[in-house]
Parts: sequence; C-alpha cells; structure tokens
Amino acid sequence: MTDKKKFDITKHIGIISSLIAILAGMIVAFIILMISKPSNGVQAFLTLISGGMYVRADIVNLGNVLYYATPILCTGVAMCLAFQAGVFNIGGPGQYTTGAFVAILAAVAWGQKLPAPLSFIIPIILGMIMGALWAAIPGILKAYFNVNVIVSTTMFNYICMYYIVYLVRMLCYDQLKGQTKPVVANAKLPKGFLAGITNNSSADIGIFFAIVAAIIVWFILEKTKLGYELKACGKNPEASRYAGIKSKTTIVASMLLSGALCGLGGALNHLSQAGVYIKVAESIAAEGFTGIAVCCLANNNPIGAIFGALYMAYITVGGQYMQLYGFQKEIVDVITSVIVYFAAFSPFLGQFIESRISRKKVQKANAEAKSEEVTQ
Amino acid sequence: MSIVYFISRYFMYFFIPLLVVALGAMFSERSGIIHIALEAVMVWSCMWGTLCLQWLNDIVANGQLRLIICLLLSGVMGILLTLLLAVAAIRLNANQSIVAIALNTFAPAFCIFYVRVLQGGSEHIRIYNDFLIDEVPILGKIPILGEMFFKNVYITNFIGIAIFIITYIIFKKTRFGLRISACGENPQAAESLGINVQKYRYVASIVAGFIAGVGGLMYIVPISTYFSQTVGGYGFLAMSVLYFGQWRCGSVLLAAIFFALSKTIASAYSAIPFLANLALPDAFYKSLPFIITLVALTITSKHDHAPKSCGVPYDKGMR
Repeated sequence: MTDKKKFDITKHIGIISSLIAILAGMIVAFIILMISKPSNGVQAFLTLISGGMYVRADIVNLGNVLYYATPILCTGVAMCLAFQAGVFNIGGPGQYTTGAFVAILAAVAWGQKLPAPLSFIIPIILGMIMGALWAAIPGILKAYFNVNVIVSTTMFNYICMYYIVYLVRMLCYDQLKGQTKPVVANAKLPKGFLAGITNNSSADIGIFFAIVAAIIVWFILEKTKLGYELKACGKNPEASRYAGIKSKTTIVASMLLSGALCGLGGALNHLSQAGVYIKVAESIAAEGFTGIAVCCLANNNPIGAIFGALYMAYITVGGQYMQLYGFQKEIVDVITSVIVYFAAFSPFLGQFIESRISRKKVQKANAEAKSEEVTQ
Repeated sequence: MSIVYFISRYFMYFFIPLLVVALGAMFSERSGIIHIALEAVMVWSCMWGTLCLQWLNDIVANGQLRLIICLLLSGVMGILLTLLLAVAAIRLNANQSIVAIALNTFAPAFCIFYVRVLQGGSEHIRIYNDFLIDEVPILGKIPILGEMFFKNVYITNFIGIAIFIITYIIFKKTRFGLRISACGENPQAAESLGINVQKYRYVASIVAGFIAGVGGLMYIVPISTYFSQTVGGYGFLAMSVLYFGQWRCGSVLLAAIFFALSKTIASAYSAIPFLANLALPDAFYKSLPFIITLVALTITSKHDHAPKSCGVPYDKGMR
C-alpha cells in the first residue's frame, strides 16, 4: 500500500473542524436572515458570503479586507499566544484601547516633528508598551495572588472603558466631533503600493506589520526556549514547575507579550489612513473579542491566525453592506459567536472523526481476516 | 434621613439581581460547570422578558401578575440559553470558557439584531412600569425599617430573598444539594456511589439558567423604563460576587451586599453631599465596583474553595 501518498485525515482534523465551524456559522446566519426577513434574506446572505462582491464587484472590497484584518490579526495572535500558555486573556479590548490611546497621544504630539518612518514607528512602539503594561497587572495578579484571569481581565476592560472617556476628554479632545484629535498625515501609516493594486482602498502597510508579528510569535512559540516554557506551562503547570520552569514568570511574560500584540493592533488601526478615532462613548472595542474567534479558527496557531483574520475580515466587509437590505451588521457578531461555539468542541469533533476512522479500519481488517479464513 | 431611605432603595435595586444571578451561577459551578456566560443569559432572558411585558401590557391588567408571568418566561428563556452551554460542556466535552465567551458574544449581538428587525430600527424596548408597591401591609408600618425596605418596593425584592432562602436550604439540608456539590468536587467518587453525574449537572445547569434568567429581568425593571440590550457588565460582577463569596451561600450574601454598596455609591454619589463635594471624576465612581472587585479578589483568591472539578469535563475512566 502507498500509505505516504494517501490523504491522512487524522492529521488535518484541526483544519476540518475549523471549516465545520465556519460552515455552521454560515448556516445559522442564513437561518436567522431568512426568518427575520424572508424577502431579502437570500440577497443579503449572498452579499455576506461574497464579501460585498455581490453588491459591488470591485477590488476595493479585497483591499478593505486587508484593512479590517490588520487589527484582528494582532489581537488574534495575542490570544493564540496567551491560550497556548494556558492564560485566558480576554482583556483584549482593554489592552487594544489603551495601546491605541497612547499611540494617538504620541502621534498627535510628535507626529509633525519626527521624520517619516519614526513618526509612526515610535507611537506604535509606545502603544505596544502600554498594552503590555495594562496586561501585566492581571498577569501579576494571576501569578502571585491566584486571581482568575477571566474575571480580572474583564474588570480591566470595564475600568479601561470608563477611564479612556475621561482621559480623552482631559488630554486629546476634539470637542466638535466628540472624539480624539486627528493624527497628522505624517504620522499615519502609508498605503504604499497597496493603494495602486487595490484601487485606493483603506489598506495600508499595517497588514505587513501584523503578518510579521504573527511570524515572530510563531517563531517564539516553536523555536525558542521561552516558547517551549510557555507551552509547557499551558499544558501542565504543575509538571513544568517540577521540571524547573518558573511558571509565575512565564505567566507574566505571556501576558506581557499578549498585551503588547493587542496594543500593536490598536495602534495600527488608529494610525491608519482611513482615520479611526476613539469616540467619547462607553463601549468595549470589538476587535479584542474578534481576536478570540480568529484564534479559535486557527487552533491557537499564529500562522493559521493570518487566514482566520482574513476570513473574519472578509465577512465583516460583507456585513458592512447588510444595511442595504435592512439588516444590522450585528449579524457578523452572531456568525463570530457561532464559529467560536463550534470551535470550542473541536477536540471532541477530532476524537469523533478519529474513532469513526479507526472503527472503519477495524471493520475492514476483520472483513479481510474473515475472507482469508474462507479462502483457506 | 430621606437620603438614607433613598440610598437603601437604590441599594436594593443593585443588591437583589446581583445576589440572584450569583446564586444561579452557584448551582452551575458547584456541579462542576463554569458559568461565565451570565452576562449572555441576563441580556437574552431580559430581552424576552421585556418583550413579553410589552406584549402583555394590554392583556393582563394587574401589574404584579404581569411581572411574575414575565419573570417566569425570562427564567425559561434563560434555561434555553444555558442548555447550549450545558450540552457543550457535558455531552461534547467542550472548553467551557470558550463556549461561554461565544455565548457572551452571541446574546447581545443577536438581541440587537432581532429587536431592530422587530421594531424597525430602534433597539430600545420600552417598559410601562406600574409594578411599584407603595406600602406592604403591616410590615410597612414598622418605624425605620418599614420606610427603608417595605415602602416603594418592587415584588422582585421579596422574590430575590425567597430565592436566597430556598438555595440556602437546598445546599445545606437536602440530598439534592449535597449531590450537586459532590458532582463538582469529586465526580468519580459520586458516580461510584450511584449518582448519575451527567444528570445532576444537567439539572444544576437548568436551575442555574432559570435563576440567572429571572435575575436578568429583575435587574432592568426597577432601574429603567427601557431595555437597550445591555446589562452593563452585571453578569461579570455577579460572577465576581460568587468568586469573592467562595461558592458558599452565606459568604455570597455578604459579598453581594458589599458589591451592591459599592455600586450604589458609584451611581448615587451625586446625591450624597459628602461624596459630591470631593469632585472626583465620574470615571472614578463608575469604575469603582470593578476596582473593588479586583482588590477583593486579590485578597481572597490565594486559598480559594472553588469546587475541585469545576471546568473539568467529566471522564468516567479517570481516577
């Protein structure tokens, strides 16, 4: 038998369960659309799954996919790293917003004075540092005081939500529009060649920063000692402590890195050419939660997160057109949640598929044995 | 004195739903299923409850009866959403935290979507509030306490206290409560004594869903005349109450009192002369309950009494 060439399904269970999750999300979306407005349901669904191409067949839509993928790729990679280390960081929104705020502050203050590449790189770095610091506190609370990370990061999201409104008003307020002051063009991320090939869409070089970040995180996790320790702690903190890994330091380190990535996402999004501002409204940044969906789709793999983020951005762009048919763009969040829900039991799905296959193999072997007996 | 009455009334508005939702979650967590999806259950069941209130407005004339019917409906809807979590956790061995995050994303998004489609644009569900009881007979006559707790009250206050007493009795005195705890502490041992762990976990989840759903509607009725698909982080606060209360009825009660006080200060500080004079930023008071939560958890989490098998899918073969 040529076993090598044969497609071995057990090795691809991760991808298969992600595809099943995506499919389930689509089916639920279709059902909800059809029930709530049968007359427009089919058209709205086609718009959604074509990424807006059904309404407006233009390369701009694909460019916008890159633009929307940038922040959620950063938060998604952040979640991959944290989840692999066994730390349930759902403080993405807070880390994202604090990072974005510091980046905006720096860009508004120094955007004109610094030369071109530095004028956006320094705010981005400051944003990353801020995100990391904001995430470090729950990390320390977990490592040294055993505070549940899910609870503490949620609390930090709310604290951030209230204080950001106050700080924007104090430090960087555009009173007419009720949002942060605009960032000067010099400090915005350039579009580069992307403007040319995507018909001047919102895409800018931020997506490359995000992809590089994903690759670096993959490298850290797979090829370095730190990554090995992170994963060991995630799998079994007790055993890794016996093996001499400092689990407390590891938890704090994973939160620092994860927060820095969220801060990067916030900074990249708010320094984009499209002009994103922090509004004076008590709301929690959705990008932080979308990161969890990206991470679930990617099975905690940073490289997989690139595709996960592109997919989530793709349906977001489709969702933008929903209002044409009298639907709300919240349908995208519903799809996201269904995807996350199904991704949660992908291990079970994997076991199920595997047991089916092995049962078939056993049956086959039994049948062969019987036929051999008969011939003898 | 009028300030004391005002604050005590406000206090009850926050205290009752916090207590009720935390008790609901306690059923689930004591049986071994992490229930982070409280926010989702509250929003979801509150939406159905308020829609039902609107619908029954002309049909059922008696305000109290209408409220009770809608509370029951909220509870049933809460069960439906919690079953999504329960099935995933018990039958499909899913990661319970991720499922809960999925539900927490799903409920607000779906509710905004659905209500906007239903009402053609607005996500606010208006409630006609005629549930206030001016004075409870006899008890309202008690000098100071009567004024504080038995005048201008909602029936939800008494339902909430009743839920607490029933929960206390269930966990302290009944076989059912002990068996739920056994499933959360050591399911293998429980199974060896003939307890059907999966069945008890389902039942505990159903009870949890019902109580949390009821708590969702209890939250919105006293404090607002419309529901706009958010409960303002209340589900998470309730979860912190449970953690701070160390999964025990009495401590949960104390924790709920503590949190409700901080929440009361946060939202009524402008009416308290002493605090209003301090002129601290609004953000400080609004985030106060969350900061206090963190401090409280930092102090108490080191040696927690969490159910030992909470969040661990039940595997019969494991020892």
